[in-house]
Amino acid sequence: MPEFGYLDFSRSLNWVALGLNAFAILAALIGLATRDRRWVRCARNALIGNAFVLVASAGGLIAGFVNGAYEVEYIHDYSERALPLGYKIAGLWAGLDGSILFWAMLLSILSALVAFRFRKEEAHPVGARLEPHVYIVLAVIQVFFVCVVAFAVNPFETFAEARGEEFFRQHFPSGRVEDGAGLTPLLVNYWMQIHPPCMYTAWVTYTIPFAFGIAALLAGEHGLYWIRKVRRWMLAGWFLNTAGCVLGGLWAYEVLGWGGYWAWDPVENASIITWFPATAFLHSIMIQERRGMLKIWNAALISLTYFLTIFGTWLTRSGAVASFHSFANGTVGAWFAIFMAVIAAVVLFLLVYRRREFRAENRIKSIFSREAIFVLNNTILIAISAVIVIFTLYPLITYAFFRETMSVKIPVFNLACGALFVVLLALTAIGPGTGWVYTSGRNFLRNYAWAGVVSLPLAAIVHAIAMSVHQQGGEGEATIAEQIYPTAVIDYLGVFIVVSLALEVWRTARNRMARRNETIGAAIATIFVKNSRRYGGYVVHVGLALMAIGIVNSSMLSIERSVELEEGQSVAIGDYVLKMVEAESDKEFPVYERTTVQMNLMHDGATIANLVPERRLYRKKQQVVSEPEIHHRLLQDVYVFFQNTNQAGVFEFKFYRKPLIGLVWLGWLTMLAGGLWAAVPIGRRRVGLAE
Amino acid sequence: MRIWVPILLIAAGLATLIIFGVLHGSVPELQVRELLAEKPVGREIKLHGIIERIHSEVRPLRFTIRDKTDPAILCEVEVDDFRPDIFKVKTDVAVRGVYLPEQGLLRADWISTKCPSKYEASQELGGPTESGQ
Repeated sequence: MPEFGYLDFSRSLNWVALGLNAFAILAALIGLATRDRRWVRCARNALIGNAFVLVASAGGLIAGFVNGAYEVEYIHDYSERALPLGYKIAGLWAGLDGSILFWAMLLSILSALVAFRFRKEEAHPVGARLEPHVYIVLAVIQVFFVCVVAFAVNPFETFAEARGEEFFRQHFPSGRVEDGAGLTPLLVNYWMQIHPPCMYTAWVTYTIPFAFGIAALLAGEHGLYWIRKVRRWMLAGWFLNTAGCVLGGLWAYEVLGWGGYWAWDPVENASIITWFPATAFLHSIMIQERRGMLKIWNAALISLTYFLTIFGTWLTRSGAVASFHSFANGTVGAWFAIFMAVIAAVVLFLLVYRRREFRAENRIKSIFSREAIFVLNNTILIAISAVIVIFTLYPLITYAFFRETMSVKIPVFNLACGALFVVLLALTAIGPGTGWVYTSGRNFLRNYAWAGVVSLPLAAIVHAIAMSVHQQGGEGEATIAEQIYPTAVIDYLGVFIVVSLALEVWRTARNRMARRNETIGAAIATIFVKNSRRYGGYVVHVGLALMAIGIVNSSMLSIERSVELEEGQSVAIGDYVLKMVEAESDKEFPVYERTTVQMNLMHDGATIANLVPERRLYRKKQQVVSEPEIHHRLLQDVYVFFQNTNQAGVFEFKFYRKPLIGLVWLGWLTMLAGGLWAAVPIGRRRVGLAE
Repeated sequence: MRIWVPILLIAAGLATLIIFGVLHGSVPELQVRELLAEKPVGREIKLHGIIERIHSEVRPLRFTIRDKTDPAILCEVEVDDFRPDIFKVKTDVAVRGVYLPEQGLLRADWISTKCPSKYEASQELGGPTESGQ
């Protein structure tokens, strides 16, 4: 493979990375032992250099994808010449082997960023003390990932190396591999270029707070320094985790054609279990900052979040639990299992060892206090994560104890997580208006009585909108216990959160207006700018409330209909009519041929939209992929899925009406906006807009 | 009131949810060989296997699946649903339904073919050709 010699070079760079990380560990250890800062700077430079090395290594693999180095088995399996450039680049994370290299590369970049920023922390006694510990943790983790790339999942391996010269000669007698097998058709979608990198970056970002947490435990440093250093990293991880989970759901909703966005599949579960402890941490650090409490708990939460990223990786790569998603490579599962055991052992030891230094400075004095609400919120968040982990692992648990594999059905996931979410929403509703240390009943009522009253008619309106879609669908009466009560409760709690926060902002702005003679707009803008962290958090709560309303109504009150139509025929779904106009075949596309169906969506006799669902046949894999068409509106989506054409030439469709599903995506964007705002350090640098 | 009281209440609620959930909402997952050995009657199961032959691609779908480790062990399946996208011979499939031993048939109302997602190995690499097909 002489023209792809850079791939051999890229592969050898992994060994350089291994050497640099090993050197970083050694230098940091010597720096710790001798208190000689020069060694610590050596470790810092090694980590920065390591980023260049791993970026070059991954860059080489990407170049192989772009230039068509199909002699490399991994490149052959996940690409082909006809793919557009974006999908060729996405080949890096399209398969197991490349994704681990991608992970190592991301980690090296973030580690280098940490190392780079430590240059300014040398004068800070705590920063200088933590620095070598942080480097050791980061370098050890990188050694692990580089070793997995080098020994378990080498993405640079050629066919001849992986399967032997004889196999290569037998299948490629000319000695060349002219084209690749092509990316799996379901992945030939623009989400492929967004969702996986987002999720990987989230998980890798959680490594940084973990490194600081372990460094703090190793150094016995229980002050606020490390907590303040990691907050923004954790927020970045949380932001990307939130984005990644919902992008995955959006991808499933827009592509997979079952009208849903979440199926509690192990791969999906792996992506969300980290979100809960990360969210818990972002709340509980406030208690440590304000009241000097929950120090050991915060170190535990940060460790749990990182542990769950490795657990999720093990879950998705080991094939331990059956999934809709394909798995492979049992060997890599063993690597991650061992790594998990090491993390768990080290963290548990350190938590026990440092329990005295990390003891709380205060105690919770009343259950009617913000710190108590936060503790309960943390408990619920961890409980949700625990439920998901236990239910996901249930097949393994039952097999281990009873030699029978049992799996938990989706409604049970919904019921258990839904029940816990109701409590979480209730705590979210009352948390912001509850004061530190103690809140009297009178204050509590003053903060929430109006919100409670105003929310009732608003929630009734929201509920009526969703119910009207359901009833128009002719699905029969909604059942009180299974549909009406749960949706009504969540609608009320969601509206209550939005209204109570709006009133809180209004009260604060009104006080400011009275004191400073500002306009309402300037007062609101100022409080948002001056306390971006607090009000960014409130925006996140509003987003969560909107999402909760959207999720519960779109899933519990949706309408689904399977029908068969011929050209010219129509079907009514309540007050909407879908008419099939014509079908058309098109074979001009490079990697697939498609059949599209023209449909008219009509309401009150008038056409309100033309919908064109399609089915694609990917030539190389001989695989059919349907592309649903969705008529998006804030209050409801109409979703058309062209399922199949049967032998009699009749077209099979699935139609869905999803009330309030737009709130899921709107709430998600609101959460992201709030998270971004909370991360911005704007309030501590600038004065208010009106000043 | 001590903070431990609500925490314990949450823990108790959590335990109840988990126990209730797994007792009333779990379903056995069987391979084809296990199904034919156990022949569970009247009990909902989830069956995993590989599509061996397809008899009908229109609703209700009818096909034969084979055991993943012993290709000689076969079971007939009927699914009251439309054909999923990735529905072809040699595809990993999971179906959920009730086994009818007198007919030698699993009657299902749910089918899922494995999404050949990111972590799919080159399983079909028994024979790539120079053009990559």
